[in-house]
Amino acid sequence: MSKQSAIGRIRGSGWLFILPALAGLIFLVLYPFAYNIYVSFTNMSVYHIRNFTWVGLKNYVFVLTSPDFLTVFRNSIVWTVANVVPTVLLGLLLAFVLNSKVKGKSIYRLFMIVPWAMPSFITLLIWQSMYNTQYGVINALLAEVGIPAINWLNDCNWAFIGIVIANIWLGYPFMMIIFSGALQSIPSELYEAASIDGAVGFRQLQYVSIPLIRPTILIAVLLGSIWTFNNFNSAYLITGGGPGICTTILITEAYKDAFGGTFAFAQAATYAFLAFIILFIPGIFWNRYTGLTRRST
Amino acid sequence: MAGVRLQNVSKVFKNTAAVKDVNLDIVDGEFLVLLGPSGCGKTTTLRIVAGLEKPTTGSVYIGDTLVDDVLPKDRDIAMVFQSYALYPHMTVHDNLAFPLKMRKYPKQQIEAQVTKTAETLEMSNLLQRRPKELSGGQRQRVALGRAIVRDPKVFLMDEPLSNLDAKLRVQTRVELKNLQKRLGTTTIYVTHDQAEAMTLADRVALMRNGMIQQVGSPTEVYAHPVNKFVAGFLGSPTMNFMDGTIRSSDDGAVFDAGEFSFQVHPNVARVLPAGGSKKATYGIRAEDIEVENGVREGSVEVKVFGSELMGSEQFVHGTRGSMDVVARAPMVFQAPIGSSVWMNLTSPNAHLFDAENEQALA
Amino acid sequence: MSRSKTMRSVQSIAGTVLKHAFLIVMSIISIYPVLWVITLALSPGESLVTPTFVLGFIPVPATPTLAHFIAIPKLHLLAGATFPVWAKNSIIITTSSVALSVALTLPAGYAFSRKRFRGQQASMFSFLLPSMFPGVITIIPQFLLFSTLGLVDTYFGCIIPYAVGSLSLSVFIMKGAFDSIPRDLDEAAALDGAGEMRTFYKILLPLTLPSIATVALWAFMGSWLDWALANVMLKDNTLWTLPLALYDFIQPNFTYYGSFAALSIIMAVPVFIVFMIFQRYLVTGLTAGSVKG
Repeated sequence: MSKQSAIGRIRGSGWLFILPALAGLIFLVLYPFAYNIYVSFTNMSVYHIRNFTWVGLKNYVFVLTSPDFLTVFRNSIVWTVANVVPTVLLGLLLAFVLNSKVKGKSIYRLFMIVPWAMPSFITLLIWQSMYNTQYGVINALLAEVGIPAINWLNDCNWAFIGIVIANIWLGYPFMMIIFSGALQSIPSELYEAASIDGAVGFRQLQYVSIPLIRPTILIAVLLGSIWTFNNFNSAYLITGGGPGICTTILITEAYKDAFGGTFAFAQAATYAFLAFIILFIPGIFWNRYTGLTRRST
Repeated sequence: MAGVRLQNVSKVFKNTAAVKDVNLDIVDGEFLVLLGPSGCGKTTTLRIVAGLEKPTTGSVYIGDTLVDDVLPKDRDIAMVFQSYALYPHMTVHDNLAFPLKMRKYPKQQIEAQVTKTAETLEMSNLLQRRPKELSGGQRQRVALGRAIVRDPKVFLMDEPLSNLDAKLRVQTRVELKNLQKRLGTTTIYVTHDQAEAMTLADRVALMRNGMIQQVGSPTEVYAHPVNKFVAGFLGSPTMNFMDGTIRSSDDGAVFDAGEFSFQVHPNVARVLPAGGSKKATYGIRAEDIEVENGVREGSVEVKVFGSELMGSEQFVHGTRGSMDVVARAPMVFQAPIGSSVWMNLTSPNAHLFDAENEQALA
Repeated sequence: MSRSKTMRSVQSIAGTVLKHAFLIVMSIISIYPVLWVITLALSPGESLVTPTFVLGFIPVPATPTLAHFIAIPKLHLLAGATFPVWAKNSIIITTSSVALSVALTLPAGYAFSRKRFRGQQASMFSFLLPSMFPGVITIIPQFLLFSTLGLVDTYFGCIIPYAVGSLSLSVFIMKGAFDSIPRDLDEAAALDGAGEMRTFYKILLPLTLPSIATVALWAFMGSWLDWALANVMLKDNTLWTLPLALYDFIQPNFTYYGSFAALSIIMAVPVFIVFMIFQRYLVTGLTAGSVKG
């Protein structure tokens, strides 16, 4: 590609361009990360705030061999998949519909972003009250249709489904916005060419829209999964991780340790690092497989 | 194979009429060029034929079929877009195969037609590449190939060559004309480039402000423009125009442009009744003006302000009072800047246009 | 001929009806819980109320009152800590974060798309790292770092982390946006005599406006509603942002639901305004003018 150097006198190598952003990354992310790893090898907690000592892998052994670990881990995985798939699909569907010929787009869009625009603390609390077995609206509505009341917050499985639904509610507006943006950048001439070539309606989605927003879908799935995995609010605020550990995911466990009385920072750090590894490794494979960071030419 | 007929077609966008009452009868197998400046409505007209726009009034017939309510994909047409609109995520092969695939052609037939089209356009070696790996000229060929592969009744082309560099454009023009003749498919071609139109067209339809000004073969519209716009749009350099009055007398007709006057050739002057006088615009092309270094009776003295040396000939630009003229001269002709030359404006090929409505006087 | 026309009309009407039905259902789902918030905000008292219902399930305040909304601008927590102050802080911090985020993202996205340099793929991937750490974990070390730099209790203490935190997604969006612009345009501009900066500003930037709007919106959201970082960085309550004031309604023994709801709604209004402004840019047709001569 010596063409590049011939044209336009490239000033400054690529590194210069990403340096500011990268610097921010190093100081504000890499450093805490390193710090976090360090702490996870100590016994920092409310009892050892200043005089913490190195304990090696003791925290890791403790966490990984705890009886709850497997359940919490499994919960995290199920939680992630159960959230990402519907959120992405809903977001795509909404983006497609709102990108087509339909009246009142702006108004609909405003409604759709409401879940995202409100502080989630209060909306999640509302969801919690809606799930109330006796007084909650949801059971009231189900009763209208003849379905018996569901013990949302106290039944292990239903509690999980409940927080998933609430989290999807929080999540699809964002996906819709991202995919809408991507769809806008497809030149309308491609759709015209496709309609002349014989592709109309769904086939245009199949052969033009989706292939061209594929990079966006890929990053949305990847980041969506990462964020959901570490999403603290929904799981904690509605059920507090209960009943038992039914709705506890890795991150709520970490929070409980860090701020739930014992201030066991080291243990929280351990969970955090484990969460990172769990996300990092598939992340690398996802990247390889889908060519997310591949150069365009 | 089919002709195309537009009947009283109009298109109004919001408050502007982009196309006004267009009537056009395109013969089967003909290469018709819609020519005109930006915004004249030629592309809109093309898109109406394609079915990408619905006409506000009027009808379109492809073959003998009224296609007003027919979707673009069912009109058996193919379109080449100015920006090519190639599917970026598909290989050249898949781009070519796409129209066939959408119509559910059997796989073998698809392969056969794609291969044949690729051969015709000499791009068999590009089939596995993606559009972004191709040069502009190659992409243009793929766009063309996608249109050809289906062997439709009509080709619609929207300035397909305008993104190519000059040399490639001229080359491709000729190849395109050739191809069309071989395939015999009716073609409607939009361009703003008059040279392109002259080369490619069997007939040219000039448009301005949404209306068709004139339809005819290139030679016809060139030699017999029906109004000043057509006369001025075709030909390079542009036709020279001068405003004044033509007076006919027993000795012949004289054109009085205020600062100078000259004889008008009888062929041109016969449009005027004897003894009459009329305000008109005189139009004469550079190639119909004779230039001399010395005074010539009947010629107009003009001061040279420059000349374009084309290699095989030159174009001398001069001014006389408020009038600019350009005349063709052989390369050897000496026309230093600031010097005076004498131009003979009397020619049988000149034109007269009504001073008010710009129509050719006939 | 007319039969297929009728069939197609029926099909398109059915399609439109379906689309609207879907959108209406989703709209109702989207705003329903917020109707409760509105009801809380408009009901007297600070506890969770039982509203009256319209149509059986739409909550409506039994005795509507604007008391909470009126009270908020006048709230005084401690000297210097009032609503206008919080609002001012939030606005300054948020707009700065958005500006910084865009300023960091644009060159990075451009570089990843248009340049080649060693370690490119790895550095691109590393932008995903911030997301892989739960936010709570990064906050404390950030606090420690900023306190040694003396940036605690300043606007920058929030602006910088907010901007950097939004990079994960933003860099990829920008890279994607630049990727989707064909190199032809770069080359055409170069042939026309434009240097790299010129090409970037006059040609590439306008074409990536929808993505820049997305990046800005994203940075806005990350900053406007954040509580966790602000809580740690801004101890001085003349520097409090709106979320900090908001969560202050949650006291250990009692939660002021009414006020909380009212303030939540007030905070949500700018989000809609920003979204509406950006919608313009999100919806711009990119094809307009870029190819047609």
